[in-house]
Amino acid sequence: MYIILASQVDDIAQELIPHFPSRTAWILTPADLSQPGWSIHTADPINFVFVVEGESHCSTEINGVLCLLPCVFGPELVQIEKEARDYVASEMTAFLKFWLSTLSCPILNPPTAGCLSGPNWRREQWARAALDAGLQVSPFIRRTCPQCSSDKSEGRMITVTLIGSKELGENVSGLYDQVRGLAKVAGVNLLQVTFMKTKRNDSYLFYDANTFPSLQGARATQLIMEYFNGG
Amino acid sequence: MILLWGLKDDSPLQLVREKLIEKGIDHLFLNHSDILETQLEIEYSEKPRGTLDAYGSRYQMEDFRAMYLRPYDFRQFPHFKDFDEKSDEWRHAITFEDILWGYAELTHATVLNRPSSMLSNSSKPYQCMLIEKNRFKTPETLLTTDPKEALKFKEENGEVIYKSISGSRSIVNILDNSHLDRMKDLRWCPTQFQRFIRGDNYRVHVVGNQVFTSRVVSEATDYRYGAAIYEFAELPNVLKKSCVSLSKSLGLNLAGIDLKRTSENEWYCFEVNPSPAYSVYENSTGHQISLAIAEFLSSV
Repeated sequence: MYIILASQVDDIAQELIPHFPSRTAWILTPADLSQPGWSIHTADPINFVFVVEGESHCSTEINGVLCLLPCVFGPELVQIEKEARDYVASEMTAFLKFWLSTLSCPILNPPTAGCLSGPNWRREQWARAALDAGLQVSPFIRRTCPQCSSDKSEGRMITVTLIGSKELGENVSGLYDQVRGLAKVAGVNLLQVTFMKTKRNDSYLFYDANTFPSLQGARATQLIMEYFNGG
Repeated sequence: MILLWGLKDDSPLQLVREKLIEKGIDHLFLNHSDILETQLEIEYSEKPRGTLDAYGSRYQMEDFRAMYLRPYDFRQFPHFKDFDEKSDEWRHAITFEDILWGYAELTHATVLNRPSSMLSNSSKPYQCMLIEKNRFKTPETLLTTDPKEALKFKEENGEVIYKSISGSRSIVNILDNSHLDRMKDLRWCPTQFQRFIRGDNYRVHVVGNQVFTSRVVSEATDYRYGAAIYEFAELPNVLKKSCVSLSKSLGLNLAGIDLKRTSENEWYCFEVNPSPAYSVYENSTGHQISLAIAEFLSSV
């Protein structure tokens, strides 16, 4: 059983399902947390009961989790009274953070204290991690004045997506090794990195990264499955 | 120079400010309420560097060797009531805060506390996992949307309390028969139940390697919402070291740790607060927490 943790309005999650082996992938949304049947004892988290698509299951059935939610958003909780939605969203996020942390199956990406899927980093934090991973970084300025931020370099943008240890998309020599290095520093296995190809000397500078890349098509699912199965 | 960021009537911040003034230590008190009159610019290349414009002066961010940050919610400031989320004022405030928190995360300066270190408090059971890794006991806990499971847990554990799972403040209450009618509402959202630990409450403030312990004398289930007296106390040395170690493991230079000691002399840990409002404990017990914070900030 594979779980895709996603918003109920996330079309990408729905589009991934047909590419999984039949009846193996289930979409778990915040609405599932408003169902009776969830039960987890912190002293024995492995054998907890969860509810997905209206059915109860045991955690031991889960072979992999793809997390497409950074947190639960209040406006999505239409089943909850409007005044309570933000509070309930906080509670559900806190609950999911704990639940995901107890799972022993592969997770794309494992939760951190700040986010249900990987680190919830600002651009500057990704830039620091990129420097630590040995990448060249495109300098930028953040400011409060009306012109907002600016970048100090110019060039063509290229995006590289990593799922597990494999690449998805445009293959540019040397960049995947850099992305793997950054993923290792950040503690993630699902990562999209944007590089800027400078006009000056044709080199690639790290520009930005995010842990919620666009995942569409059979190839993405194939790589996700490979990761879940130890590939 | 030391940066203090927060509000004028925030006691924990102002106590430290008074100590810095007494000691003649160079610092800037940046009033959060003045956010619309401040500008911030940070350049990110090899090392972050930038400027803060406030009160007619320009400060180099690299000159702040330590920071104590206790901002509030700018949306609650009176002068923001006429602005909405689409206004330039909101955008400025949000941008300023985001830039400063981003800088606080990456600067080599000492920060009380870095944003990422404070996040474990946003999920109590998640933080309890980290607390247990530091060899503290935590109470038996059930998270559930199932009334039958909750009642079974109560039967197995005797007295049981319920409280929020997230960092949102909730009043801790004992589960009793008056709640039976509401048990059906559990299905809407997971709720946290814990075995109620009877004993003496302690709040331990850790500043660097220093430990300040207060015993809380109260009849209330949740002393924060009932009458309480705070007394000077001391922990056994081994427990003091454990508290320091726990704070460091969470990346916190300043922490408020909630402990309970049972009649069998067992110690339980409930929570580590990364931005403790220590002033009421200092005022009641005489612990020099603000002095310790001021000295910690100025020692780097």
